[in-house]
Amino acid sequence: MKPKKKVENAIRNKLRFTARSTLRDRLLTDVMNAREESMQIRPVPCRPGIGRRIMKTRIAKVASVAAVIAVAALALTFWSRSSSPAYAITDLPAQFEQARTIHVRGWHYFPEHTMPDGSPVPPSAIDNWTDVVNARSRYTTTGLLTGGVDGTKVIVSEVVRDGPSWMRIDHGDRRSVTYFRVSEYQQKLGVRQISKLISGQLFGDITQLSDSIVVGAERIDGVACDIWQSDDSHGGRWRQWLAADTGRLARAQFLRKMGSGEWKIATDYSLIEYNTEPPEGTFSLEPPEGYTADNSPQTGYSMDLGDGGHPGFQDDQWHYKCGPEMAFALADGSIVLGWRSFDPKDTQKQTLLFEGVAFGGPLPKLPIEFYALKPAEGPGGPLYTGYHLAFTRKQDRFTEWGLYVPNGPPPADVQETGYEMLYRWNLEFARNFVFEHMTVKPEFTIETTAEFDEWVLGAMAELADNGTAPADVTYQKVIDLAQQVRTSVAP
Amino acid sequence: MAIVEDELLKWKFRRGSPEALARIYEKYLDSMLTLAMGLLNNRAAAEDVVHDVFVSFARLGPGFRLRGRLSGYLATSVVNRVRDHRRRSRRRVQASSREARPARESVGPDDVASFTEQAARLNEAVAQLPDEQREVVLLRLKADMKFRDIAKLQQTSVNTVLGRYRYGLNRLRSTLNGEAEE
Repeated sequence: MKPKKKVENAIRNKLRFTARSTLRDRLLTDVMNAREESMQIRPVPCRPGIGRRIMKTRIAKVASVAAVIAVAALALTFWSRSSSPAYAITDLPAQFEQARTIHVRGWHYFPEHTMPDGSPVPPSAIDNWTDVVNARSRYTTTGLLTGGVDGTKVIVSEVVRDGPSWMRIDHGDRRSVTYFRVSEYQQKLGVRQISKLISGQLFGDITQLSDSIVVGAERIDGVACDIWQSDDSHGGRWRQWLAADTGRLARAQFLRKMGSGEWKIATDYSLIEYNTEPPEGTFSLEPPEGYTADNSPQTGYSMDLGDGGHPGFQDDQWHYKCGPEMAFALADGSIVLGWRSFDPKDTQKQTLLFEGVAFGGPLPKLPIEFYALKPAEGPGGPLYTGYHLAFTRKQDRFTEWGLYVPNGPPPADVQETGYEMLYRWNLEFARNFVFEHMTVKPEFTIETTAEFDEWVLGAMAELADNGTAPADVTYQKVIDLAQQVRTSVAP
Repeated sequence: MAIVEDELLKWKFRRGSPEALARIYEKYLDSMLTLAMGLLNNRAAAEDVVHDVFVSFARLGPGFRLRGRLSGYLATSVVNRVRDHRRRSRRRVQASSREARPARESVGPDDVASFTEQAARLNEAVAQLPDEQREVVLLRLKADMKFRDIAKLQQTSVNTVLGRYRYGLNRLRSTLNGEAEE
């Protein structure tokens, strides 16, 4: 072997560190906490409609026609065996939107992994409650560590949300609870997001429910159910058991395709109930017996908007962070985006950078400027140029609120796939720093003045010291600005 | 196969899967720690860097979209934070010569599990390389990054990166003086 190769092999194979178990556990706790924090302000993203993707190429169109014929034939075979369903699978989301409470119980499996002795990894129980009316919920999250110095380990935590306090329960070695505090706005937002979150866990992308086909029938607790199934393009298979007479969801599974081609259950929601009364204590914020509390509901960590993490670059002399805070789509396809780009050590400069900015004018020249958006997926697509709407300031942190107007028709699935935030450095010396591009997904689409006032102005107020939104921003003015921009860039 | 798994992990992570995050963490913790240790030769600093990288990654959460390789993204994040750390260390040393201390601290054998004597020697040898060469060698051999991507990260041409890699390996070969042939 050549000497160069030997050196390469030595570095590649012999230079190796293994994290100590204390670091491993501490870090995992922090990582999961960080994830949980980010989940509070962002909904689970939906998959893009596969139909929309395949219709983009000619070959795929032909293939899709053949597939549709095959699926139709298959569906007719099943339907000819039984009476036509008295419901539509696409009605499922409505069941969730109308439910007062949702209870989901089941098991999470780890089909891709085994214990060091070759035995299966024990499944982890799921028992999730959501009280939509009272904005309360209890969620289990599960993770798996394999190959570490401690061997294979299932990591389970729960988050209990009740009003302004949330409690995270760490069921790992620490057996502890941590409290968080949320604002009224976030509680409301959580309610709005909650059905989306649950349906994402049970069905994946609801826009693909229409791609499901009936693959069998089974009785659950004496009720005849149709079994619906759909495969996604990422090696996942979704199954739902729907009562044949009412369409009520009785069971749901998510399966993964193994290397051998075999499908194995990854998650099995064997009990799904709507509108049942949660047992007393379900949403209790008292630490379970034997658990220690890192803090209290009164001293819980603030989960305020704007407290999320941002990528950043720092030094003794300078320190910059940037990232999106909140985004909403408008009915005309424009996006209202709140974002930050700041030096935490220097509020004076920030103040100067916002001087002279005007509604409808250019964005302020912040250190990292998110000057435009573009669809995160697919080639081409319109460019959404940013215009200044307003800025807010809270505890010396400025948030820029921009209106991003597309210069062409937005792709149909852009709300689902999100937007890439195009950035430029306005600091000469920092231009050699690289960070992966960021994407943002609007919370939902604003269609009325009332919604704009509640959600967009509500978010602005949330990120302002005085708790009020800038007075000169109204729905009508923003819509007019978008129209004016669109007219000016029209060919 | 690893890349296929990563694509699946990225997709699941985007969908908010805690299992995917835990798997990414478990899969890349040691390799990112090795990369940070190689770049800094300072256990505490390397742990801080890796901690920040994974916590920041976790905060990206749903909606995060990455077109490139997961390992490349994490390695790039490690490098950026290591550069931050180096700048801070240099300024501290320049600011007070009385307090000047080696920018690099040696790794104690008991500090990190499974850190063999041979790994310690290799790490010391790598630590003697200039920063740019060390980055190229480690990103290529420990993070499996393409030279093209390393060039992008270092804001230079592929040829320069290839040169740094070649010089780095030559220097390591002479420093190790037969070590690599064991």
